[in-house]
Amino acid sequence: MMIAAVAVGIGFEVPAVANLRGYHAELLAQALDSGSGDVRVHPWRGSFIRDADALALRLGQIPGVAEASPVLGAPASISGHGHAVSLGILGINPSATYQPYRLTAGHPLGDRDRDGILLGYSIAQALEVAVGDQVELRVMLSTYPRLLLDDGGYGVYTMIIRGLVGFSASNSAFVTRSFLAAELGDDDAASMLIVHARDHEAASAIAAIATRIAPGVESRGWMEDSSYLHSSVQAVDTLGAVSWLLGILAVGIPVMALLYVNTLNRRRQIGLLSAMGFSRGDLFLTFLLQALILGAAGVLVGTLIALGLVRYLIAHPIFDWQGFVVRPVLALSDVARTAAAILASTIAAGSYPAWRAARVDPSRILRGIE
Amino acid sequence: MSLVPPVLVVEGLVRRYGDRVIVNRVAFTIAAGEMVSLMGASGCGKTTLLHMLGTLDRPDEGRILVEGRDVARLSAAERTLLRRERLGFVFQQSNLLPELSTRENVALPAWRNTGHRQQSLARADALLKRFGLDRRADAQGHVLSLGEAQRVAVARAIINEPRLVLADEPTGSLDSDAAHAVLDALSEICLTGAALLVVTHDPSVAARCTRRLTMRDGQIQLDPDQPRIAAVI
Repeated sequence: MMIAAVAVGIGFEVPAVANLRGYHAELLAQALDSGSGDVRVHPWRGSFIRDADALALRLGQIPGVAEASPVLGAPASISGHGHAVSLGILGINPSATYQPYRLTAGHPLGDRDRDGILLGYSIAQALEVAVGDQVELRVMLSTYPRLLLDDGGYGVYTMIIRGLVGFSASNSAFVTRSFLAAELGDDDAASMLIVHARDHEAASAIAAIATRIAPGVESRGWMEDSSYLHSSVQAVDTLGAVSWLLGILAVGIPVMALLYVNTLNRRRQIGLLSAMGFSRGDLFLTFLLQALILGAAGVLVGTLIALGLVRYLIAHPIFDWQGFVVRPVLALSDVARTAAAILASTIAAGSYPAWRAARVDPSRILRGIE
Repeated sequence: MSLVPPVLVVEGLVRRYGDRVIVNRVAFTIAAGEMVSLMGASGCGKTTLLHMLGTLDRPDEGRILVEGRDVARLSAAERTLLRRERLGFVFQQSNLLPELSTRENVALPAWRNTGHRQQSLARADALLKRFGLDRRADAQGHVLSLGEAQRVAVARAIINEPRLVLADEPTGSLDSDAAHAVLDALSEICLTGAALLVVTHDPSVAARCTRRLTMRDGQIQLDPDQPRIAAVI
């Protein structure tokens, strides 16, 4: 029973922690790696950053920066199959390592793709279109100050849907920045620069350096720029810690109850051992050792169950929606920490029954008074 | 006057539970090699007395000397050591640890005493053979008959070669054949020079003892039919 209690505890605890770690990682991956980056660089004034490529090169040289990519945005509408949707369209560099989306169907854009577009799932659903379909893209080019257009400020293009993107980019659409910039008449223009850090935690420090070396723009780390995301990540971490602690208690309390009942059931044996010359210390250590052995066996069995369950959950994620997939992330340190904590709680839970065993009055027990 | 030094000397022993006096000024001695029975009605204080002699319980008054040592002056650790090395116990039933085999049950006190598992098991095997239980050496305690279990308990009680064995109704739940076998085993203890005090209700058990003590209302009674009795109040 006790081995089962410990095994179930660790068998549940490790996958739960791994799932929360996976959720944490996916949240950051979607919002930062496949989203708006760790540091967002916006123009102080106006809507555009000039000499964006040169600035991206400078920002890319900041220690800890993996990549800095300019992106160009403009208000737009897309229509297809009789439906139309207003949205912000983003021009991206297809050869960049990081993109502000995660492709979930179709193919990425080519470097010089002038008529390809990536659509968010929700947009594609609203327009009832799929990969390979044509849509009409209208971009409000008049937002760019240097352009004076005759057709009311709109550029109208027929685009082919190359692929679909999900979750955080579900309501967006993407074309190549070179295409959009050319239409705007400024090849070096960008609405913002997305800076990816090697370590998400370093975002604020990188933003501070970016502010120093590029005073004409505003650089903000994701923790300051996306307080919702920051709070969500902190909430997940807190939830993980609370869940972990509850898991330890959920193991420790029944283990203590089982060991205590075991001690009660063995009182006559304890009396016999006392009569045979076993000291209180012997009895305490015997019962504590029993708890330790049972706990260790439970941890071993539970770890095997946990590893099996984690493998199953990797193949069958608990959450999979529009490319947001929560797969457990198994860290050896989590397994070791959980195993050690559960073993420690087992020993702690076994200490009281062991102490009670050592305090049994052998005379009363052997006479059947207790 | 006996030249054999007493293994056990009891002087003015008193034990109370609340206002009730369970053992009242009991005094007697047991010499090495003696087999003494302690009889009396249920509740007269026999088991309480036995537990005090075995250092499982403490008297309120009086002295218990085991091989000349006053147990009241011993520390808890010294009393534990005394039980382990110099005393042996046999109880009426549920004497064996169910998780252990017969030989492990017998070997346990020796293993605890010496720390040598193999030597203890070898000694247990020798004792089981002596008591005709060698074929049951690997059996778990719970599959033995009551008589076998009691003989195993006797073997366990003497594995550390104690000087005094205390047996609390060792044949109480046995049929006569099994009881005889257990008594034979107990009798052998005295041949090694150890003393035996056996609490019993059974006159046939008492008849096999060299001396008989009778308890009534917490006191040892003089028995006119037992000229060899040495107990005094």
